[in-house]
Amino acid sequence: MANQHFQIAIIGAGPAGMAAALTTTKAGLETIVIDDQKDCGGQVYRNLQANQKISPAYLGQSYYDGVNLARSFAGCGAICRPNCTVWQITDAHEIALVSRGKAELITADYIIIATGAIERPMPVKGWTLPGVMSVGGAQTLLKQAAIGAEDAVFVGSGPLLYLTAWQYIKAGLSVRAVIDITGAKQWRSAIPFAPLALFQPGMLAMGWKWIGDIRRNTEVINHVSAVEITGQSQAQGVSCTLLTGDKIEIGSNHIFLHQGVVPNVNLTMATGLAHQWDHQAHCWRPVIDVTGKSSDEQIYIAGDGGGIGGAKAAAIAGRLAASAIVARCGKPRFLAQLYYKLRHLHYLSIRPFLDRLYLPPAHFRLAQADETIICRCEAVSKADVDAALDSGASGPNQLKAFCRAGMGRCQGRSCGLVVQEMIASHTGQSMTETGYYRLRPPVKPITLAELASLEGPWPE
Amino acid sequence: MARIAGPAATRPVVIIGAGIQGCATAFFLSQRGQPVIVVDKDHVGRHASGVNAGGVRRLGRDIAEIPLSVAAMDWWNQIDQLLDIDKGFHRQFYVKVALDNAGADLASRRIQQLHKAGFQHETWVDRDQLLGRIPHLTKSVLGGVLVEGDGWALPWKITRAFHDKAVALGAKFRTPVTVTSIDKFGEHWQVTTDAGVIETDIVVNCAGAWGGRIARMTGDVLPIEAHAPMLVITDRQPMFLQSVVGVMGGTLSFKQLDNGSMVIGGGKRGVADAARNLTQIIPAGLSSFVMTAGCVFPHLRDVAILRAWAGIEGYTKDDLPIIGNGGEAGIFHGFGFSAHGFQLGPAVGEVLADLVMARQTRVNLAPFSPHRFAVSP
Repeated sequence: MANQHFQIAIIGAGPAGMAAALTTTKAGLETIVIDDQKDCGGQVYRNLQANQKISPAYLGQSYYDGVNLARSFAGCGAICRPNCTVWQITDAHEIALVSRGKAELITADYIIIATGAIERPMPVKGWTLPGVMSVGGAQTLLKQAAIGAEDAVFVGSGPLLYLTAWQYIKAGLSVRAVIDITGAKQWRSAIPFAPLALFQPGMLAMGWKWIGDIRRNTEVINHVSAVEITGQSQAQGVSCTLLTGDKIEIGSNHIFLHQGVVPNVNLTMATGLAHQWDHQAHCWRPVIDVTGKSSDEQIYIAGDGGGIGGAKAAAIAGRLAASAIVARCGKPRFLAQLYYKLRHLHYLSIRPFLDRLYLPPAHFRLAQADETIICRCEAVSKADVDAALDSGASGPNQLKAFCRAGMGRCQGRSCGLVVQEMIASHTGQSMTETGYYRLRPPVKPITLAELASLEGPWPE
Repeated sequence: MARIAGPAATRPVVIIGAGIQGCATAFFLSQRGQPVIVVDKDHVGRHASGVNAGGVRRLGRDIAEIPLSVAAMDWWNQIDQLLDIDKGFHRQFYVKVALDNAGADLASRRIQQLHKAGFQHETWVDRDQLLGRIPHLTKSVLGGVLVEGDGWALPWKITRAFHDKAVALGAKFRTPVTVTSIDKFGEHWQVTTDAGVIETDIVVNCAGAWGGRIARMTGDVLPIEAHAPMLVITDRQPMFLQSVVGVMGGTLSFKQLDNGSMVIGGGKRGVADAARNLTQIIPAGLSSFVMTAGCVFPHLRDVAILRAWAGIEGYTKDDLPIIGNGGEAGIFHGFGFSAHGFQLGPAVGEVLADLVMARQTRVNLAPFSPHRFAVSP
């Protein structure tokens, strides 16, 4: 059977993917949009259609900003494939996907990868205890199922942490405390970029409001040098050491961790696209040109997956990449491209400030205690990684063989950056020299029967 | 250029390639007091030796290869003592099951052929016996060809252990170091690398998929093709399998590791780009051998695949390895194992060490002679 072919395949129906589809369909290009959730919206506008009906105010204006985009997307004429997981893109631009238990290969002239961001790992002692989850996970529960926890403690830094704590408070949930790890050093390096950030007064004002409301409603702890989650078989609380050396113990069974988001490079790396280490944002990002074109002429990357910018910047990046493709299909869009590029730069003007302010200090990026788990899937501790480094593992891929970090169910999606930085600080090499795990398909786990379905039904 | 090896009198043997063959050769030579330097363009066990399916089998081998495989098994049965490791070899049994009449016919012909050649290690087991030993096997199995005492090992662990032991015995490893030319210089050889020149009397080429390129530097034209056989590993499952399973007439290899994960290999090839050290997975190929696995173990329908990968391996025209002396004195080759060299590793290390030290080998190497590919003028 011949593969189904499309002019444009967009992977990810978050703001970047939805906006890109508006442009490509308007230009008359046959467009397929693939997403692994049941509804469009991505993480930021997750479950928007359902929430819109009851419109809980606690989700905040920034969430409902997605309503118009989602509405236009629903009527744009793109072929939508929800509940559909992309697990590989081959050099021949075949997109391998799984939907309802069946694998398929489709092909496209152009592919836009808009797979967004993932949270930066935060390997504090005890982070794997039941009761601990990422702030992103806590926010997903709130958006998807209106589920929240009473007396939670938020630990870390970054806009998503403040937004989620604010949403918690607005939802009437009591927040026990917010432990903010942002240090004076971060402020010092960020302040010179504050004037540039003033191009985004709305965003600054919104952040200011979140933080103000949080301070009025719960205890905020600053000047923190170390954090540990206490408890044996379940999180019992947070033990937090202040710069003064004093210790604070806060009891809670729900601890939410977050120290920023990074581009989700799992698919782009597994596809073999060129990536570079971003020194400012301290993460990997795909190498893209001004329009989002990757090192593969046929593949574009739009939104947070190409570099963190937030939902509004992502939508513009989707428009920009799509216009560039439309232009290559013979319909020049010079003015549109220029307009989108300028708006994109305008949205990004706040990033130099935010990236520096919320770059977690090194001692929060790296685990401190020997027993802290680094790779959860294979239960590899900091001591195990250190031992592997001492016995000669010289890079992330060798380290896998030495101690199995990154070999488990998540294939290094959650420990990659921590492991890489541990190696770099051990060898003295730069993050670029150290490199990252070689990522292999399937980018997300698929079952044996799903994979075999390319061939036929599973034997009984 | 800087010299990275010692004076002429104590010139170490230079081994090119730190895969299992190179590491095992380094180990046996070091054990006999011969200084060696191993160079590799990447690192120990980076390619086929570190990432193969790990089958340790005599089952199904070309008749020419059986004596070498049997010799290797002597070492596998004492691998823990040999290399100071734990659970280096999972000694179980290896069976190729017949799923249909064609498979059963192949099996009986194979056993007859082996008997004629004087080998008794492969035996037929019928359906009931087989289901008794592997209860989860498909009920439609007809029987299989089985070798007791075959099994599996973790490829990277064994390759690394040969390296570690060789190092403990004095071998030097230089990685990543790329050989750029090998030149006759008076009575000895000059191996030029991107990290300096090494002078030596003896060069051993264990460069796997890159062995043809190294051979050419020594003046030998030995055709080799790089391919990338694909493998998948699954999520953990309760233990149900204490053997390695293949199929008659197919290339499946299926095993369950100690942690419950299953490694499924199928001989299906991805794309190998030896020049750039890259491989690519081909979804349709994966699908085909996973389907074969499903025919053997239908109960695994909903088990998740965690990762698919492919390693770059060198294949010869006749699928037999190249082991023996090159055209010029002081050159020895040991590569081109065509995806079945892992089990042979310890014996290859031993015979290459014998060749280097001009000793009689305990296995006849004639079928593997590099000269079989000699281009007639």
